[in-house]
Amino acid sequence: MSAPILSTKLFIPASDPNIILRQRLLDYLNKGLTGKLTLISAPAGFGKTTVVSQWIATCPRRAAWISLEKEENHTVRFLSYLVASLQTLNKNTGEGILAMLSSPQPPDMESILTILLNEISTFSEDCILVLDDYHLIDSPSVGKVVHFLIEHLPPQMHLVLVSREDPNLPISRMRARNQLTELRASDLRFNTEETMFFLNNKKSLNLSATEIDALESRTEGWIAGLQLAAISLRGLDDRKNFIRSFTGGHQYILDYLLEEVLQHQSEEIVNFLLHTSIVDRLCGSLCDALFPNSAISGQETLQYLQQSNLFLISLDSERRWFRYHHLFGDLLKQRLGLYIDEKAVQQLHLQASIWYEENHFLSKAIEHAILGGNRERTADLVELAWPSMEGSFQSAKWLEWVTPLQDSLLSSRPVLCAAFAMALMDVGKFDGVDKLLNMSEKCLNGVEKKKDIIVVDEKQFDSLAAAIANTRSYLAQISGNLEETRKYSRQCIELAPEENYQLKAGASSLIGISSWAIGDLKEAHSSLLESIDGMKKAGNTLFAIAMTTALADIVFDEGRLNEAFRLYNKTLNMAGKIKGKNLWVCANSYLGLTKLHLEWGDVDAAKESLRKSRELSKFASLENTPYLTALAQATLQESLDDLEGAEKWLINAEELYMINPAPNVRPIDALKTSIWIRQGKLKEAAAQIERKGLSLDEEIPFLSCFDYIVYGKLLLAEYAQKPDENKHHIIMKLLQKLQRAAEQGEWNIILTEVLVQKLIAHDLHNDIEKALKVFKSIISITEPESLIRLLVAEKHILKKVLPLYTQDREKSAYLIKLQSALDHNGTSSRDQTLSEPLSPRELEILLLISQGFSNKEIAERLYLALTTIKGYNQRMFLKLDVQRRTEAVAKARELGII
Amino acid sequence: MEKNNKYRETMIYQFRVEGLISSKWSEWFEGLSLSSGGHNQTLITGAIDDQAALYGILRKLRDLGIPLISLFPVNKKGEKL
Repeated sequence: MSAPILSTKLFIPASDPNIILRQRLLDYLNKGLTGKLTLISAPAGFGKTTVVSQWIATCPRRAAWISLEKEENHTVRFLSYLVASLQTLNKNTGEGILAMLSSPQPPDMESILTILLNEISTFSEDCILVLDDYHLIDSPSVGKVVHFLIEHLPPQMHLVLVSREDPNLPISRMRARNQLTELRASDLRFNTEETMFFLNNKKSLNLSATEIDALESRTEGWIAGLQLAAISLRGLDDRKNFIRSFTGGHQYILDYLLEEVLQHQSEEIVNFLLHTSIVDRLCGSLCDALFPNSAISGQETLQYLQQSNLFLISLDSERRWFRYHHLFGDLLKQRLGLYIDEKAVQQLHLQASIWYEENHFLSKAIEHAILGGNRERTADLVELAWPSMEGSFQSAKWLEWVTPLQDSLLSSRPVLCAAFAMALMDVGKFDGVDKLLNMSEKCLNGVEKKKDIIVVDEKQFDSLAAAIANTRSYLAQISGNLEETRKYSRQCIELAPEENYQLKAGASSLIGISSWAIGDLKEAHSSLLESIDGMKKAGNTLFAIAMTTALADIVFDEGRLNEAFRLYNKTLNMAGKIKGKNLWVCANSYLGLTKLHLEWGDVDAAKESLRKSRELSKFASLENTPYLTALAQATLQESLDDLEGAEKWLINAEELYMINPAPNVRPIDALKTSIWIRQGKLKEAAAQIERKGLSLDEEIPFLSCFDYIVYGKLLLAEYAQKPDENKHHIIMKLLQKLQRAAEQGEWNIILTEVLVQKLIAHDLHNDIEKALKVFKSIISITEPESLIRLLVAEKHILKKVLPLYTQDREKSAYLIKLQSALDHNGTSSRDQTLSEPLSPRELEILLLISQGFSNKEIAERLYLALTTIKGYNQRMFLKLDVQRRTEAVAKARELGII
Repeated sequence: MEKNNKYRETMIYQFRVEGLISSKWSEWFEGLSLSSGGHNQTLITGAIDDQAALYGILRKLRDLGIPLISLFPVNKKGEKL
């Protein structure tokens, strides 16, 4: 959840009629619209904002405005304001981007900016974007964002930066290339003519030329100085005296002038100004809270101040919110300390804090509680602020407030302690988490006296025991203790209140993922289903999609390919319903589909899914998508017998690998070793496996299975080169162990690979009977789910065994497919008359057609779209050289294909 | 917290700025002392913890529109190092 956007910061300051119009500057700015960037760089009090707002009021181009503050030094916040300001020009701009920014894994900055810039380039009207007070931005990452913006600015947009200092951007380079328009102090100062016009015409002071000259040279045309001088002069009878003493001295101008101005205001007004100087933005009721004993209301005073031109700036068109001109506000703040003692100032901050809390500005309430030195109040408020600030980038800010609080304050506040622990976890600081959780539990377990316990947020308290268990679960996961992770997550679910769907769903997902890593696929399955259901109820669709994709991966490991297919397609459906249509979150689903199509032997469909995935992740992707994409490509290349290509892609994947909570069932180094074995590089493979230190005497955990399978492949390859009875025993021992583990855990994909190896082992040992028996078991697993690739990868043995198996059997559709896949890979085919054999998928569809199913029914049976079926039909007809379904069936029967 | 002054000790800096600034501004400038720097100039002198604090003072000068003339480290007697 992010902090709300303040519309006052997007408000374009109204052009003040009391300020003189400086046509020469406006003309200069208008000329600059042909370039990319306008920079207005001058110290405070030079009328920068005034000039820009005048310019915008008179310029034909529409403008968007952001009044920056130090909070915008965070990229996510800065981008949110960027999008919000552009939305004032064009309502729908950046909708998808706001959704991306609030997702658990947002894509990288450049992708987001590219999307935004592309949207801007579709604007039908030219526009201007003003970033006011840019000197407040000192974050390098935000600087990079602005730099990127400037480099790639679409022609429709002109950027204006208003700052008190030259920004950290390639200014001189842009100057040299004439891409920059600048207004600096020397341009903004009033010249003699302007000074005269300002003082005599606008302020109606009727000063002589000499007097104006004196004022101009004393202030050096500094507008703030002239404005203050004008205010003083207006009320004075003896102007000559004022001008003489002002121009005669060398005192810091503003100090001197402010003193003069304040002396001539009523005591009420002076006190009002001082008391209200502690806050950035003023409205009537806040002023009343800060200065309660006034004869006139805050609202009336503010109006008076604005009309008298006492440096009050309007922040909206309703005249509700105002702020003091920055310089004026700073001067007042300095004076406050002189007029009012420290204790009273702290009291003022507390008043402000109370008002902010009552009016739902929690952040500001906390800031002023801290400035008011009230630690208890601070502790109360930060406890309330936590739920809306959870999540890594706001957690850092929350921690700044909480860290200075002492243990004595924390020990009686269980909710605050637990929140503190969670915030530390969010920013990756794991020390001290346990201590805080213990402190919190002490309160719950009645170790602390009940009356001493302070709870401010009852709602958080209701979920406290569950939240503590949840945090412990994450700690356990980080230290790799999967059993503890499951234990604490189960505790969390037990203790959580019924309606806290988010918390329970999060715990279920942890149980699911850690169960998967242990190989307890059943538990993983049911926990993830619970998690998905809970996340949907909590409205967290992105998380539900991520968990559904994980579930599909698990179901794949169970060998249930059709179900996996259904689930991946489900995520596509779910993503389509999200506002802003962030389909990029489905890139991983398409990779899952690629994997499935390869297992089904359908290379064309696999290529198509991979292409779709790449297209979706072009602009934005989850952290692990590049890695998974490279992996998918490697698998594809291997299916096409391009072993060199496969290896190249695996090396690429290695570089892109990111540590992920999802278990790494097929580590890259093992995949590489497996390729080496296929290439005959047995020595390299042996060396790599040696490094792993695999032992046959221990139990084989789920995550190590693939390592052992590759070990098995090496042993078989070595045996094939040099048969050795001893080796045969070792191989059988290894395969028995793997088989037992896989059967127990129902890890059917692993089981299939193991059985295939067993098949090869029996064949190499000339045990044809045993081989056939094993083949029968394999088919019983692979047939229901149409697993093709695992078998076809071992062409040699399949060509031997398949004919033997099918010779006295009815040829099922699956077996025909298997045969076709074998033939399709370029070896001698039974169907000599077809120039290009049918792919397994095409064959499957043809068989269904021959059984009388309509295209629509076939689509439903195979979980494919109707258009996909029609596509396959077209290709099939071309190969068979026919025009219709009936002809296709007839021709295929003729050729003995079916 | 204890300061680790092993590598750099707190330095004393002297800012020379344009205009006469009264000593009332001392607290605004984090307790640094203000004194006359001769014709139309003020000296702001005092101990500054580190570079970050130094830039903080420069910012305050910038925000108040007070022109900076020079900045030097000095010893306890106020002599340029």
